[in-house]
Amino acid sequence: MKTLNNFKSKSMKISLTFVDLFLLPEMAGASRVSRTIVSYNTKNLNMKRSIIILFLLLGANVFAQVPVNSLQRNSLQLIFGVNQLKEENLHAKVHSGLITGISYQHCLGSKNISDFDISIKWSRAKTAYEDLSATANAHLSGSYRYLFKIFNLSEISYVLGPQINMQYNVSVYPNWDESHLYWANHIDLGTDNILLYRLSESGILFFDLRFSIFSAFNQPEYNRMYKYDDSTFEGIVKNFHSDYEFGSVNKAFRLAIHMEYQFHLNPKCTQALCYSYDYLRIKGNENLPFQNNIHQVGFKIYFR
Amino acid sequence: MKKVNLLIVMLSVLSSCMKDEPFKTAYRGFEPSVMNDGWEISNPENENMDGSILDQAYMLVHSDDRYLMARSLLVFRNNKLVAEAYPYDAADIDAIQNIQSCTKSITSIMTGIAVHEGKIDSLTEKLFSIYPEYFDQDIHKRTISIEDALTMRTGLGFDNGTHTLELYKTNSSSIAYVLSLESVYPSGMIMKYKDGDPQLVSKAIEMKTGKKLSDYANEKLFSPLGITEWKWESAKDGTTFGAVSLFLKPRDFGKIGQLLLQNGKWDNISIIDSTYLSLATSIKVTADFNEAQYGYYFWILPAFEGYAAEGHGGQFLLVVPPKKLVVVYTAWPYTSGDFFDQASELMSIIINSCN
Repeated sequence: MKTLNNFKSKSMKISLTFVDLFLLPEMAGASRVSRTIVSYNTKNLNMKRSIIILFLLLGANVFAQVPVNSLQRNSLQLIFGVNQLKEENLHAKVHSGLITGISYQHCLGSKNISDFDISIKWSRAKTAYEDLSATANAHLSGSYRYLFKIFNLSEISYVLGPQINMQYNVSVYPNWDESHLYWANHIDLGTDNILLYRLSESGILFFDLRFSIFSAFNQPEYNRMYKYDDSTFEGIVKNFHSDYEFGSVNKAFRLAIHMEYQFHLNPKCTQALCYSYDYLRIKGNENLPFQNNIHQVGFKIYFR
Repeated sequence: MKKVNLLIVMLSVLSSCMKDEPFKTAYRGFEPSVMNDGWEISNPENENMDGSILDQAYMLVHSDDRYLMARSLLVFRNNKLVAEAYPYDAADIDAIQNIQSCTKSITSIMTGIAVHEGKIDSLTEKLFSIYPEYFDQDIHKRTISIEDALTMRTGLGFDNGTHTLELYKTNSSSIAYVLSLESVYPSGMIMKYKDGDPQLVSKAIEMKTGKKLSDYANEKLFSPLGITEWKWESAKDGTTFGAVSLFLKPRDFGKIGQLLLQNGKWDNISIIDSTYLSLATSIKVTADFNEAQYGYYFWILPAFEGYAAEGHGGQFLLVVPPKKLVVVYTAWPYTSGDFFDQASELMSIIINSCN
C-alpha cells in the first residue's frame, strides 16, 4: 500500500480535495483508473457505528485527534442565492431577496475527517408590499464536524459523524419596525452525512446532509415593551448572548443540504460547482416562529 | 428507480419555499366583548348610529392594504362602547401597546391636572425659573415658557430623525441634552413638531409636583379611571418621556377620550382643569407640515368639529364633542412612514355613521 506521501509526490497530476481526504488512508494506494474495490473490516465498522451512535445520543462535540501525518486542505467558496425570511414576531409575510457571501473551509484528514468551516452571508429582501428591498439580513456562522468512514468503495463512499454549528442570524426590517433589531442566534448539535459518487477520472459528485438534533437559541422578546433596543456595542453583545433556550427539533431545527460537482480545469487546482439548501426554524417558548430558507449556488476553489 | 427517487428529492428541495400568511384574522363583525372593565356595552342602533356605515370602516381595517398594520378600532358613543374589533390578533383586546406620539396628548392632560391642582400657576412661567441648572449660557433659551414647549415653539433645533434616538441613548440628563441643542428660532415664534419639547414639559411637571410624570399620571389619571395595566418609559436620567412610549390597552385609551369628552370630569369629579382643556383643544399654532392645526399637544380638526391625539403608525384617539363620539385606532407602532395609515378617511366614515 502506498503511503500518504505518495499523494504529495510530484508525480501526482491533480491536486487533492476534501473528497480525497475521505479516501485516506485506505484508498491512498488505490488507483482511480483501476478503480480497485477496497474491502473493509466489518468488525471495525460496527465499532465505528457504535461510537457514532453514542456521540449522537449524547449530543457530544467531538474534537479531532489529528495524526501527525494528516493531510490539510482548504477551500474558498463564493455564494449567490435566494433568501427567504419569515419573522412571525413581526408578521407572517415572507421577505425575499438575493443573498451573497463567502465561506472558508479547512479540512484535516487521515483515518477520519475533521472539518471546520466559517461563512458570512448578506442579503437584502422585501415583501410583496414593498417597492424596494429595505430589509437586511446577515449570517455569520461556523461549524465543526468529525466524520467517520462508514464504507468506501471504488465509486461510492459514505461518511457520517457529529457536527456542531453556531450561527448569528440578524435582521433589520426598517419599513416594518424602524426601532428594533431581530435575531435568531443558535448553536446546534447534530449529525452530518456525506455521500460521494466518482463519476469519472476527474469528476466527483458530493452530497452532504446535515441536520440539528439539540439546539440552544435566543430570540428577542415577542412583546418588546420599549421603543428602542440598546444599540450600544455592549447592549447588542448582551442581547445576542443572554436568555438562551434549549430544545430539540420541535423548537429549533436546521437542515442543510449541500451538493457539489468537483472537477479539474488544470492539474494544480480543483474547482467545484455547488448547490446548497439551508433551512432554519426557531420558536422560543414566548415567541412566534422565525424561519429562514436559502437556496444558493456557489463556486468553490480548493487549495492547500 | 434510485435515480428517479434522487430526482424527486432534489426537485422537492429546489422547489421549497415559504408562503405568505394573512396579516389579519377573518372579519367577524364589530360587536364588543363583555368585560369587567367599566365600559357599558351598546350597539349602533341604540346609540343612533348607522351600523352599515360603521361596517365599512371595519371592513377597511380588516381588508384594505392601507390599513395593513391595524391592531384595533373601537367606537364609543354616549359613554358606551358601541363597536370594537382587533384585526391582527384577538388577544390585543387585553394587551398594552405603545401609543407613540399620542403620549404627547397625555403629557398635555397631566399639565392640565397639575394646573388644576395648583402645582403650575401659569403656563407663561419660564422653564429657566423651574430648572435653571440644565440651561447653558444662551440667553434665548432662557425665555422658553411652558406654553412655548406645549405648542412646539421652543425654537430648539431638535430633529426627531436623529435626536429622539439620542434622547434615549444619552447617559446624562435628557433635559440638558435637549437644551444643549442650538436655538434655531426665537422661542414662541415658530412651531416645529419635535419630541424634545414634551421632554421639557415632563421635567417641568416633575419639578412642580415632586413626582416623575409617570408616577403622577398613575396617581391622578390612571387610577381614577381604573387603568391598572400600563407602562411609560423613562430616559436614563429617570425623566419620563413626555413625547412617546406610553403603553396602554385600547379600551383604557378610550377611557381617556371619554374623560376629555366629559370636559375633564370622571364620576362627577373634576380631574383636569376645564379652562386648560379648552385651551389645549383649541387652535394655538399651525404646524410645520400640511398646515395642520395644533393646540397643546392635540391636533385640532375643525372639519370634524373635534380634536385628536395622533401617533406613529396612524394611531389616533379622536374626540368629537358635538357627536359625543370617541374613537380609538391603534396600529403596529414602529412602521416607517411608508406604512402610515389613512387616519382622516377612517375618522370621516365613523363620524358620518353618527346620526
